[in-house]
Amino acid sequence: MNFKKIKVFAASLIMLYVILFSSGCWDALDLNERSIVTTVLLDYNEDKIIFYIEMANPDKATTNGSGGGSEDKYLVVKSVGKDFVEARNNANEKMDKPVYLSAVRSIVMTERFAKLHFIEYLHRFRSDENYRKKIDTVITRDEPEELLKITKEKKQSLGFVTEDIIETLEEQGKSFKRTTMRLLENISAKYTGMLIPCMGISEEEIALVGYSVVNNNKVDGFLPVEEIEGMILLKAEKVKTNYRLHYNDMNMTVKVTQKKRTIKANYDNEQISMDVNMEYKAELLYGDKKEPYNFQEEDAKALGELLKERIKEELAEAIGRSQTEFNCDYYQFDDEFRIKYPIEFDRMDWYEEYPKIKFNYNIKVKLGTVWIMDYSNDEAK
Amino acid sequence: MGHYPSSVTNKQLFFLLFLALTTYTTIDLPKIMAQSAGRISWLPIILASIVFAIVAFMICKLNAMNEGKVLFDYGKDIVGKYFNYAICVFYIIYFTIIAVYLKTKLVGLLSANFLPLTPPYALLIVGIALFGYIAYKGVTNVARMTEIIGVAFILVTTVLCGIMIFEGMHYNVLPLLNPLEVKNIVPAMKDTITGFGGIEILFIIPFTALNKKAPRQTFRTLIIIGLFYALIVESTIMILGINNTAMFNDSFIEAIKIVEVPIIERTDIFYLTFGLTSLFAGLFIVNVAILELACKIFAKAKRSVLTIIMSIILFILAMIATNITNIQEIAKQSFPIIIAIASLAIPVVLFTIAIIKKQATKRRKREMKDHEF
Repeated sequence: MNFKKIKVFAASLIMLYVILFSSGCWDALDLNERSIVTTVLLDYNEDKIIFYIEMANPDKATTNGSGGGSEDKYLVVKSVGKDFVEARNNANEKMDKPVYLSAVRSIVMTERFAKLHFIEYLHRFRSDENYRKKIDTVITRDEPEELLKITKEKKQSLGFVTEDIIETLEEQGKSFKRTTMRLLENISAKYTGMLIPCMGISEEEIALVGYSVVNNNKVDGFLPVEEIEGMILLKAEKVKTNYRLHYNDMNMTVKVTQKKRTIKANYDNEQISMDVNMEYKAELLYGDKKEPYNFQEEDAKALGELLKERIKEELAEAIGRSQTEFNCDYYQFDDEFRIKYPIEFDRMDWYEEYPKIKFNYNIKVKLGTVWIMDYSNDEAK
Repeated sequence: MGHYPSSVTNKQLFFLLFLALTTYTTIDLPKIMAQSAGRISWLPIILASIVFAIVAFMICKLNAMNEGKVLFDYGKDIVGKYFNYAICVFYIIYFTIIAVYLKTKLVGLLSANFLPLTPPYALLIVGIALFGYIAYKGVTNVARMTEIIGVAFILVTTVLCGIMIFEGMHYNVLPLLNPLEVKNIVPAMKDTITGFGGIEILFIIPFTALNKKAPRQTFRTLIIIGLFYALIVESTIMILGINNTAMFNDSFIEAIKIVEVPIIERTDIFYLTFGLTSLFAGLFIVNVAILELACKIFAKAKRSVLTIIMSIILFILAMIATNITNIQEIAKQSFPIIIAIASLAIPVVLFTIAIIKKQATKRRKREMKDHEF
């Protein structure tokens, strides 16, 4: 009987200990007691590193409208320093609560910052285990204050907006997403060439304005969003796009979906060549003339050929530009070559080899139509 | 009072081995392998699993040859009383080192991910009391527990690895057989030793008539563990890339953080909930191994007293270890050697001597029969 009582007493004591000291009191931390960072915006100006740290404002979420709470959903703390350590220390001095980095949505770097400190900041990101690892890193050519002014007016978070825009465009097959971890992997590889989304202001809205070219760990180029068709065909995961083709005095709109994309590397007589194989499913949507179009099978073939040529031109232009204008393999053709020819790749300098690569294009287009078109008496539907 | 059954079924043996071996390996193996073998990591892992499978087979054979006995009981017939004592004392020290190391890892993981403000001693007190109590209950009870923990752990880890492969980049792991990396295979096999350390717990499990198929099953278990490790390493590299995998300390956890799983935002916390069960199970197994050996050596002492002494010693050593800053480096340097002795050298030597002695006994019996004629 006594032994049983001792056992119960001991068990209660252990339970009490666990509840009080192991998970409860020691580690209890209210959400309001952390500065939940959503965006880190980095700038470099007049030899100084500038941090803009955007945080969720819990007071806004909890305030009942009477006193105390600020109206802003997100607060921004600006800190300046001659290096990252000093800038961060300066930021810490302005924070009333400990920083929580596991909710950061995006890191935004100004182009002038990225040109000098891109690598260092990515290394800093890797060394800080508290950082959320799915973060997007983007570059901006606009002034940070301008970007933050727009998001403040719209009561938005720059980090969330950036993340959402990139995700939406990726879903639509009009852009591609690269987490910061992938950028880190790329900068640690033997060859470094990549594209980073560039966010900016377009008609008073935050928007994707293009892509910054990172060549050999330096930001040294820019592809405006108006000139990326070919690049998207090579980089986006689920390419879906519309083309307007001129055929038989008509402008036809065609919806194109990429079905297959393979790159095959070849190495003969010390000459590298790449076979770019693409398969597309195209769908004729509408024309700009009054029906009937009297569209026959040969018309479909001719239109398919037209589309094929157009895609080939865009691809050749996009790859050619990377070879001549930027001298940067941001399409990661190096990986295709390395996988097939690891010994040769190890011996060569890809920076030198890339501009000399020959590309062969093998494009297949399967054109169909929708029922409203009077196309070939339904034969080619 | 104080005596608990120590037999296990073959199914329990599978989970017991699985959890004993995978304790912390799942988390740090990708980094170790990416550093030493690169993209060819899968190959030394599979080769090492075959080597360890053969050794595990030998231990099972030894156990099967001495049904109902453990190393302490039959070891004296193989190497004599004093050497047997020496081996058992070595295993106690060895399991103690492993237990202390795993406890520092557990404290580190809990502090980093769940309980950042709780001081290590508080975690250690709770942990060691729990591990001591479970060890006190004996091998069979621990084995039963591993059946439940094992299913959850294997299922969650495999599913997450599957998602990682689906979401990862194939070019991160290709080419699978790079001629430039072939030279890394043998040195990298040395680095996999830590991942396969743990098969020696078979020495504390007495086999019964139920364990007739245990040697073959143990062999298969080790091969499955090898494949499981290869899956973890390859899926981590697919997500992080070879350079990131080599850079991060807990690269598997870092890779899991990037995985997109519907509904679950913090995939790492989700995994750790299950991954920690493996670490817990590993600690239960190591504690029970220490206690079983101690009970054999100090046969007259009460099991409860030995449990308390073991727990106090482990607490003191773990407290010292948590304050050693370069414990990771010390472990990296010394573990391959001591695990090679405990998991490879001793079992092979014991098995070889046992077989030679068995052959000699047979020959003597045959000669005696011949004499009789």
